[in-house]
Amino acid sequence: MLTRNRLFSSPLALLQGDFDRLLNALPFEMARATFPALNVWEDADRVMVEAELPGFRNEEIDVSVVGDQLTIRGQRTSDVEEKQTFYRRERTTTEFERTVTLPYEIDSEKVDATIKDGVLTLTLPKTEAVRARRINVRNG
Amino acid sequence: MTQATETNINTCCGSDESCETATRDQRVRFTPAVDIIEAADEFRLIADVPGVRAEDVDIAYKNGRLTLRAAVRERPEAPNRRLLRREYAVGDFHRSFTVGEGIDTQKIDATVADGVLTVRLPKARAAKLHRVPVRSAE
Repeated sequence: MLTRNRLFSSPLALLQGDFDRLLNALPFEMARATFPALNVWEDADRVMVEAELPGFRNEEIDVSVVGDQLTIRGQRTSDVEEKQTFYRRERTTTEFERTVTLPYEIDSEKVDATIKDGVLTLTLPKTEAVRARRINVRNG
Repeated sequence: MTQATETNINTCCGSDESCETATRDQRVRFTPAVDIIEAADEFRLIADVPGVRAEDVDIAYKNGRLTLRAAVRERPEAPNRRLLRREYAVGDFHRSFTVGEGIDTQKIDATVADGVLTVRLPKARAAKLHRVPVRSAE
């Protein structure tokens, strides 16, 4: 049976920067240490990040980028009403914050974030400087 | 009544094959996290199913067993993009529950919003009735 990784408590968040560095070197199975889990891609001009955040709406997610540091924060309001009894409670994440170091400096003005069906998609353009450093080799 | 309803909905299995035949080729299948809540006139089963749309959910009730299945569509892989890091896999969701007496199974209803599936299981009328105390005749 496969279950999704769940949240880590806040004391560990302090260590997260170190974890991230370590985890970058670890295989996928071991890299499940923080919430939300991220999948990251790049193409020539952009870095793309995806995270599963079921139950979080647009206004409940905050994405910020400084240089190569991406931070995703979220807080969802509890929908627990009075006079309810929980028989099972597994959906425990109501608040999170995660910072990761991306391999490139990002043009933070042009970051695009959308959430649809509980999946957050970020498009993070690399800075001009990063793109300029990529030198095309032409046939002589 | 609370005593009786405690066992009304039990998680029975995740990807247990005995639940029903379910083979969606070789895709990974996940057990969604769920909350089960009792309110005054219904039970609510809330499951995290990121990436799932309403039309991709299949809920079946049969012989006291409620089975949730949600198919996650392949997210289109953009050309020329290179994976830098993969921390989670995408797959379908599957979980089933045993539903006890006292549920009006004809009226089970489900909605999906923001990647969260909510299944409402109304209590049967009998279960909602207050018990009338019976006194001995003088």
